[in-house]
Amino acid sequence: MIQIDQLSFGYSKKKPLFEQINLLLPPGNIYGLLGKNGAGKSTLIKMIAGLLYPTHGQIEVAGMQPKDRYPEFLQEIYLVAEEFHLPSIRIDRFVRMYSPFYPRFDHERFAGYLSEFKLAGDQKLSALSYGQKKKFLLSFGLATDCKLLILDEPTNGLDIPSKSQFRKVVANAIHEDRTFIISTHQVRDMENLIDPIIILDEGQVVFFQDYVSVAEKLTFTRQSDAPDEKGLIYSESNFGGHIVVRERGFEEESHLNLELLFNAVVSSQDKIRAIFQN
Amino acid sequence: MTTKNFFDFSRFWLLLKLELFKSRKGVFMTFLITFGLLFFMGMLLGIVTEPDLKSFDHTESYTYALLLGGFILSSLAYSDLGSTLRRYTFLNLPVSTFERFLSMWILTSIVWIVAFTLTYTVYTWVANYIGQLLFSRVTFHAFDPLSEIAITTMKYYFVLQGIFLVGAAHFRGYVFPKTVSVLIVLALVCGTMVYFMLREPFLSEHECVGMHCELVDVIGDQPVWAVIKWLFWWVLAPMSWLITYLGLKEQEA
Repeated sequence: MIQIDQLSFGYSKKKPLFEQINLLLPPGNIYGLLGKNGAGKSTLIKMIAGLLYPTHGQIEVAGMQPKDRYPEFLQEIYLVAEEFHLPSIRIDRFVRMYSPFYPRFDHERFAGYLSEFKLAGDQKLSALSYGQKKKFLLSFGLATDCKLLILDEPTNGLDIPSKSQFRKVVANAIHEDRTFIISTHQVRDMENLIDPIIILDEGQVVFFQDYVSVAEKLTFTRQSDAPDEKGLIYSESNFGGHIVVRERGFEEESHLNLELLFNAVVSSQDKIRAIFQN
Repeated sequence: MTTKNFFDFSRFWLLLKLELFKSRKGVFMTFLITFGLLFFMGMLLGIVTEPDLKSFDHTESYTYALLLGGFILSSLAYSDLGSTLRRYTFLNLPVSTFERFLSMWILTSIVWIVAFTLTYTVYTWVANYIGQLLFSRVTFHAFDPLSEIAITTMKYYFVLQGIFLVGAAHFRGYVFPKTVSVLIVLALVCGTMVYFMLREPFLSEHECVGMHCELVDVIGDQPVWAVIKWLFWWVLAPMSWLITYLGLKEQEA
């Protein structure tokens, strides 16, 4: 679905953001793109969507080059940005005007999503809250049946029940021909949804693994004593105890803590790399 | 690249309808303000302040309103590019750059000329009727949209509006004042250059007495004038359209 070869990019020539990145994302998955502020998540998303062009290397999405920006390509991607503009019209009018640009737009499914998110077709977009606007855009993006749906911080502005609805709707909409990329800081909202996990740090892909591999190689535990150094990858104190990431030996499989995994990867890159290379 | 990725009529038609729908409020407000000003300031105030006025003609107002309104409208053609948030929506819409250009060109040139001229004609019927009731001393002339002056105005607009489309595709924000400023600077530079290049040969052979200048009379006979006229009527507009298209392409990067 997405193939990135030797990708380099920088907003200034002196300070490149990405240097020779390679990435292969097969279809049928919900990829979680994680990284600190300024790691390059939004830039990578924009390049995949054809809104920024690489300095060197190339990106291929569904067999097309995003930089060509052909309508055939644009029909197959839908980007729900963190900040967006919506015209001051009713939902049904928006759908009437914009949906014909997407040849596989499914009106029935769109109505289903709207009802799931408790939105009505006669509501004016300008009268919706930020969270409701996001739900609307997500519904529209999913109903386009595009091959690549990119969500940038999708749970920002959503209340707690809406976050569960979001997970449910997104999980049900994925199929073997589609790819979703979710870029977020709200890692807890994405647990049990994103798989594989991609972590960007300082312009490099420092981690790209699925849940099964992580569960096989790492354990996430909570203990009251200070952790010993043997097999320790990362630990942080938490409410009078410690939560610890270790290389998994013969211990039982533990529940994957995404936030802890992210912190472990960012702070102990060499240890993580060594474990996953084996 | 397949032809469909460059131009597809059904997609283009959808875009044309979308752009027309998006600009409906702006166009309605433009019409309301323009015709309000024309009626109250241009016609009623003009007649009241000139007690000796015997006849009223709408042709001059048509020229100013068509040109000015159309240039402002053309300057707003790609206003979505000026806002970061609208820009993403604009660029992610599955249409080609050529379709974006063509839809805006049609709307701001042909559609504007036809819509404005028709509305203006209807406006003059109403304005003349009301004017006749209020000022019986004045003869109100009917506006003929196919008169020579009206057609010449349309032709000038058709050629010149491309310049404002260039501005719309290249500038972000305040497009109209920026484009006008660039035109003024260009005119000053070109005028100064021409003056210094032609001053000696012309002033040695032709005389200027008071307000009358022989130079202005004879310049129309020069072969270079024919070239300038040809460039104006046949090259300026296509060149502007090409630069607009390339500007849109550049904005995508």
